[in-house]
Amino acid sequence: MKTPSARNVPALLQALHQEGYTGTVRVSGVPGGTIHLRDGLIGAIETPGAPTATSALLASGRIEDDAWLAARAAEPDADRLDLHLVAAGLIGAAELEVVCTAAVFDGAFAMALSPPGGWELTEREPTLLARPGVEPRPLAEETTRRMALLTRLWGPAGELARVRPEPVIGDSLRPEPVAGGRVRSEPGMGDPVRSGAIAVDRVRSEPVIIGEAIVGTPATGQPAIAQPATGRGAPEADSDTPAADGGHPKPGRRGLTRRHQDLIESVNGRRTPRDLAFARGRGLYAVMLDLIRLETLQAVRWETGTTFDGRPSTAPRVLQGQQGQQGQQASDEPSPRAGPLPRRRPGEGSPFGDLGAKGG
Amino acid sequence: MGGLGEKRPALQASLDRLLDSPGVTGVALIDAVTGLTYGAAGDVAQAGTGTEGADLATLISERLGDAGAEGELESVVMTSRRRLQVLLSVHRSAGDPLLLAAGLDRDRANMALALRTLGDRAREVLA
Repeated sequence: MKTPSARNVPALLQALHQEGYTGTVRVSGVPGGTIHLRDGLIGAIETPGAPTATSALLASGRIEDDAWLAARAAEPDADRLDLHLVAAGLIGAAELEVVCTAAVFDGAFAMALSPPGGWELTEREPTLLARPGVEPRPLAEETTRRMALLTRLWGPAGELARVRPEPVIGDSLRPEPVAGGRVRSEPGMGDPVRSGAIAVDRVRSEPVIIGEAIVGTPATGQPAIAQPATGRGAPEADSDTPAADGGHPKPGRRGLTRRHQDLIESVNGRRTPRDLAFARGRGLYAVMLDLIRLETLQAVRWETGTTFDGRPSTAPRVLQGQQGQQGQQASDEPSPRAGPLPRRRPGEGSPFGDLGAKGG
Repeated sequence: MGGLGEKRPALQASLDRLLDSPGVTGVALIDAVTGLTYGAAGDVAQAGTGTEGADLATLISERLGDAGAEGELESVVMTSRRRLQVLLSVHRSAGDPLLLAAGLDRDRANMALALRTLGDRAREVLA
């Protein structure tokens, strides 16, 4: 197998793109990963650091496990599995393109969190592919943009990948934005709330005039001063913000989308962003953006600099049947392969050996 | 609908069809969380960049939520004397939210009608 000499993985992928390579690039390192190319385009990236398209489809519940297994049985060639999924009516062709493309970009981002080791080229390995695939250059540019944005919003992305967020317990409502807080703004974005715009809140079927930093809503009739945003949130289609939840002490909920609420319910002080991404079937980068936002809102918190292993957790995961709605339990349960705790028996001393000062 | 086996990807075909709507000059499907642009058709500059569209929708959505609006943001319309720019939420049964960004020529588009047409057709983008 010809192995082009390249100074780094993006340069390698660019060289392979130019020669229309079809095959697999195995990248060593932590987390490392496998990059699948078809005719020079990147069709899939599999890495322990981020969910694949398959993981996203199953963990999010977009495709049920049984239907997936049936599809795999009906179409053994994974390279053609996308065609079968669409033909079987399990997902739309365009939506599948979106899921697979998102997974490619997310996999590249996850692999970029740590310096790669070496690489080798191997034969084509069938897998679920993004069609037609992603060119190496925009993939590298987007990865660079993501790393830079996280650094600007929070700090080093590699460090953020190691945090273990926990929910902030209490009835704290959404806090006032911190004066001097970090402002989310892209070059050229300007200040949209000052540009004069009309937002149509179709829940109420009435237009809401936005201008001069004032946002009015027909729901309350009260204007709210628009403050600089930090991090991201996003609109979702059909989830209402719940009202007070019966007095149970929960993190602040007001103004949060369902997606944010789901993420808060998944954090437990043990899961890293990668664990959360796998549990929710979401992209690692999207989870990290949401965590930054939720930390700003004081809905989650974490300590930094306390991890001992110096890298994101990258232990292999196995999709479980109950993943999806119950997927967040996966990383909390003890391994079934773990043996029983050692027991001390009379007259046998410590099962770990005689570490104490024992006379005689 | 175009299948994946055809030369033109299904998403591109869906976006191309939106250009048939009156006054639509450019469309793009973007990730509302990451700002990634999954596809575009027509004059891409008229639809705006993915990161800017996602940022804008995020900002407005959060401010509406702060002000007590119930439900999620469905659309944002920006107007100038000659142009319209629209952001529409695209419904998904699972996965992070998407936005359909569209630029329109105001001389050729009735705003109310264009909003309704695009809103209806946004549901078909992921088919």
